[in-house]
Amino acid sequence: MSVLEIKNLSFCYTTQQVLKNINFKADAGDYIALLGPNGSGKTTLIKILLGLLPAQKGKINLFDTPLKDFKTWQNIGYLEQKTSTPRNMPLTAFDVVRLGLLSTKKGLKIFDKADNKKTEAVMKKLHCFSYKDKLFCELSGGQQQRVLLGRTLINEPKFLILDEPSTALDSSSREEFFEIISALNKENKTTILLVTHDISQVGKYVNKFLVLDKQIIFYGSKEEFCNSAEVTSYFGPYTQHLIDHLHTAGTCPLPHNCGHNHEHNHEGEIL
Amino acid sequence: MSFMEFLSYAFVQRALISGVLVALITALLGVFLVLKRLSLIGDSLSHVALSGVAVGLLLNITPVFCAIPIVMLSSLGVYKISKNKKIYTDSALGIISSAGIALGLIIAALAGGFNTDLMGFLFGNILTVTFPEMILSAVIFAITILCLYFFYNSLIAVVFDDNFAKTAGVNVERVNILLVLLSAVMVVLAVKTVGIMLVSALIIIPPTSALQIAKKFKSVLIYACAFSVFATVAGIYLSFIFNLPPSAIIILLNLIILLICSLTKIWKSKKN
Repeated sequence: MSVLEIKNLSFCYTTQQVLKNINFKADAGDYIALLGPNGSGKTTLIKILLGLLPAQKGKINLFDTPLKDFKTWQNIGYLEQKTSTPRNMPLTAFDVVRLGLLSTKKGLKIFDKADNKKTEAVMKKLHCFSYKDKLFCELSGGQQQRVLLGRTLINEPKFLILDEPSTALDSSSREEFFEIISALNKENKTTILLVTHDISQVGKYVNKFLVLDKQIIFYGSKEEFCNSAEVTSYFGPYTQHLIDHLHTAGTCPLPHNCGHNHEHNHEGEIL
Repeated sequence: MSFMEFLSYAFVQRALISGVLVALITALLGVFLVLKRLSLIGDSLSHVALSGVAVGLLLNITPVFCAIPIVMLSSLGVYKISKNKKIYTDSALGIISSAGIALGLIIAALAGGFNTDLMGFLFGNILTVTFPEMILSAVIFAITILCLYFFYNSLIAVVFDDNFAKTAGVNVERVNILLVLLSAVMVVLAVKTVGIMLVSALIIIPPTSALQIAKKFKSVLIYACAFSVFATVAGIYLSFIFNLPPSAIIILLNLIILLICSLTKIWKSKKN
């Protein structure tokens, strides 16, 4: 059973084509880094997968079920870069984590004692129990992201979609964050689709790369990524630097050079 | 006049019962509207209510009953327009608001100009609440409580983060439509209490006061209800004693509560 299968997906905002003929498949246990410059359609792709935007053309299956018929949303966890939470929202960290259980509720969406226990357990696991009674809006960016991760993981989803989740975290919290996600991937075979600009950070964890720039530039394993002519052609002079990062991170044969203009900084982030 | 003597009048009893029910409805729904940054929906829909009231006066139908379906349809219009990404929500509210006033003025002119009834709706006159209007308030209050009970967590999820709510299996569209329809009915009821000009104050001020001092969602709802009910009951009593417009007194009392809550918040934050 494939976790995600996309066939011939295209999407336009009015006259601007954002996604063109996207095809790819993710299986159980895949840990995919979704790369691409700003405006390449990464977030649009994710919004379509989550049903937040309509798929104008093409087919999407989640767990072998067409997206329009997909009902078991508790199997999907979604964590975005930043929530647009109202400034004065009177919800505690505990309330926010517990909201994650809504997708398990049929009919009346009312929480019970078992839900409270489950919430406490996940907060302890993610080391955010100490501020469970604090208002979410009064927490630091890192604490908020940890709470939102708790909300995402509380259902033990089989497919995690993470949209630049580590932006608000400091370097040690980032490392810890990716260790937690990696453990889920290894121990529970959780499939992960991670939107990131930071190849150096995630290189050692992921096993596949998907490079998107309105269309798929590359999709394959980490080893294939390092030897791909498409990758070399697309990233141009930066390819060497990119592969060095991956090489440092763990697996990769060495470098290629070629010419394509994309801006990158010295930390390995595509700008 | 003693408070007990004041309570002995039938029209006062109707005013108090309706006022308390409307105060509770506006406070409860107002919390969600304020947090969802939709609080000006009250202002916009109250202007549409002017059209509904004018139609009622023109056709000689009880204005409140005539205004409810018109305002409900308009609230759906606001929702649909704001869903269209080409028009911002505040612009949609402005468009519907202007359309409501323009239509209201034309219909009022056709009905023979502004009469005392229409002025009553503009500035509110809770002391003239009729028995059917009081029953309507009770019915709407019951519906509001039931909806909040069944959709409480879904509403919180939608207010907190509607993208998340959708992925959590909440029918965001249904919850949003429910909220705007309840708001529409609430606005028409509140028009009778405080008038078209002051409806949005009744929706915005008590929740805003509660948000200054309460730390949990349920506490916010409780404080908002308490402030709103206190201001309404005290406002009706004081207006009766001093022969002043009840709507203005109710809103001024709400503003005083907001000032006290804001000062309390500042004092607490300095203390910490």
